[in-house]
Amino acid sequence: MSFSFGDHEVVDHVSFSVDKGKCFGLLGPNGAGKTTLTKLIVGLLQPKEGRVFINGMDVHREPKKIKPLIGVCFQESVFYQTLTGRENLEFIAVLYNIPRRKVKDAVSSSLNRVLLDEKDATKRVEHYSGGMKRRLAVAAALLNNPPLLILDEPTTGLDPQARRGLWDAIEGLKEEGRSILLTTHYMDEADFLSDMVAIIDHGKLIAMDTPEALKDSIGESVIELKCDLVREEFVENARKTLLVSNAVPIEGGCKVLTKEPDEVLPKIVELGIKYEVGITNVQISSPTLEDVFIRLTGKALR
Amino acid sequence: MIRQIFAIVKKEMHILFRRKSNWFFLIGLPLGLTLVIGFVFGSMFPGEEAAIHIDLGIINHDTSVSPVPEIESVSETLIDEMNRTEVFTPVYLFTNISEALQELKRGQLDAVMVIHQNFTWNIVMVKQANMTIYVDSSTDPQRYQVVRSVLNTFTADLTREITQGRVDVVNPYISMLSVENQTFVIESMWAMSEPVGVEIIDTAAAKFRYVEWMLPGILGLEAIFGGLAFSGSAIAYERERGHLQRMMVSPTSSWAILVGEMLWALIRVSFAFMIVISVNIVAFNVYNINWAPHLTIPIIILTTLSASGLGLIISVVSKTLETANGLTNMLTLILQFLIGSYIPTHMLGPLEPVAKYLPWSIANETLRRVMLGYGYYANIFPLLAYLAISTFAFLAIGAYLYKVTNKRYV
Repeated sequence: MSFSFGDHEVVDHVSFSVDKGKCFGLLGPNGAGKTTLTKLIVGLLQPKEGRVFINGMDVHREPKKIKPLIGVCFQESVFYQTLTGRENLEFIAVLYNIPRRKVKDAVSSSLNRVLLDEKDATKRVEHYSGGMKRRLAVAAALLNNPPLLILDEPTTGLDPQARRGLWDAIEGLKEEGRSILLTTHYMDEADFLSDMVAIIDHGKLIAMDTPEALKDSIGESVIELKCDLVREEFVENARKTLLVSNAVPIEGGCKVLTKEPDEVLPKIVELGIKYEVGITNVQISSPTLEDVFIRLTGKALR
Repeated sequence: MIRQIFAIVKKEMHILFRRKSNWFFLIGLPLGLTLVIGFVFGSMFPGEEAAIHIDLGIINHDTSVSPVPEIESVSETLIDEMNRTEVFTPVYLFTNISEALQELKRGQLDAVMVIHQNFTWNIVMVKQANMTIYVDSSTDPQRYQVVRSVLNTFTADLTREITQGRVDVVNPYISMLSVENQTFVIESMWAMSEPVGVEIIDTAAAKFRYVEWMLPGILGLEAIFGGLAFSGSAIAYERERGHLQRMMVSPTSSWAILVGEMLWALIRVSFAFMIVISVNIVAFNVYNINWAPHLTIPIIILTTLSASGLGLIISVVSKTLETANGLTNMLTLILQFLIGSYIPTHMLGPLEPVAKYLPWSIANETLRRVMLGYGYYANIFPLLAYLAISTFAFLAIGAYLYKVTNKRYV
């Protein structure tokens, strides 16, 4: 599927499928085209090229049949701030044609699944913390008990504890057998939650496999250096060092990819001393999905 | 500190010029308001150069012939003279009083002047000649005051002219008297003279106070403020906050969303109407009103819907809520002067041709005709039809634009 805003190709010939009962992670930096892709999938935007099928039905041709099958959690927490959490969910339940007598139960059930209690539900949304709003957003997506959940950056802006809590909730949804399409720019999130991961950059799908297979595909180790000062010349020379496949600056340091970490490490430390970057910590580790991204694109996540 | 102050000013200036919606307040609003108020009040208080025009119907019952051959029919001369003035040109001649009064009632005439029999004979024979002037205060109290004032001035001038003529006729005889007696006789003649007896009759069935005349206008104004402002921001608000996106991914039809928003605008405006009406009854003792709900309710609904239609157009074409609010604010501020709520449209000078065809001016006029009881079905239904057609047009354009654009901004 392709889509462009004017001359700018936002989604460029992307194709993938989400298996029933699995979590599919769409991983990429901010601006990679993930949100546009989800809007195309839910029918908010019309693709320039290609089609989207859910349960064998074309999203753009049979929207009335498709919409009840999808639950969408948007990137922004879209709620009426002066209504309570419960009132917001009751309104959304009506939008999904949930019968009047079942609305209360549907709302309570959704709230339970994301670990929001009744006391929280009676507060106005304007008094919610960021974490509570994201949970409420997931609860809203669950109201119609959809077989397919689309979660667009569900944990963006949350503190680590709140993120972890929401991951647990999403894990619970996976266990219920729902298919989940998860977009995220957090590598650890995609790694933890996804059965399959597609890496997307500048609207193009650059890799797709299980998280383990993607990490194994690198076949390299990662030397992560923490520095007082990240100098461009240092990173540049590290990249040119023998046996180094790539080196990129990261926040507060530098990452070096190599198949021979024992041989490369002394040379990198030497370079650090030469360029006076003030190395404070060195760690050799197995690659993460972020390293896969670095290997594929030659840059760290934006 | 000075640097920081100027930095803040510079920052605000950048924001101002980069947000086009702010231009409405910077340029559009002062420009629009100045022009409208200038035209409105310039026409109300025109100074010397602009003339007031009065549509006058005349029924001339005077068939008498002057006993003095040199003097022609005074009533005919009077009509000719009136026809030469900018104020009365052209006068409309009628033969049937009931026909003329009906035109007065319908607002087609400002006044009807009846010149009674033997007018010429009485003037020439130094007797009192009579005329009756009919006016109607119910159609437009402001206009009524102006018309009365002009007619009073006119009849006073006429009286002075005729008296002067009579003085001139008898002057040769008076000159035979002593100087002291001449002054005494001339002053006495002026004091006693009332050559034309003028009776002014207000034909209004009921006397309306200004507050009663204003009530339909305030309701019309409320329909515009409410319909335009609520609908103008509704879709833009839902879109900007992401709620529209949420609704569009649900199985709910986009038309249900639109109708729901419009219905809410109607409910809010209805609530405002109830407050306006209640306050007028309780605080201003407004009772002399023909409520006629079978007519007023459809008029009010159509008025609100037409304003909502315009609001919808603004809401869907504005990229941001700020732009939508800027546009609706500017329009409501300007429209309030143009739709005849405060000032009748015929007093708007160069803006009159535009103002009188605005659906909300028509709505105001229709409401007045019904509520002040001077409307007939024959002169209400054409206005109602115009209002219905324009409402449909606004809603159709708004709905089309909504359909076209609702995918563009989600």
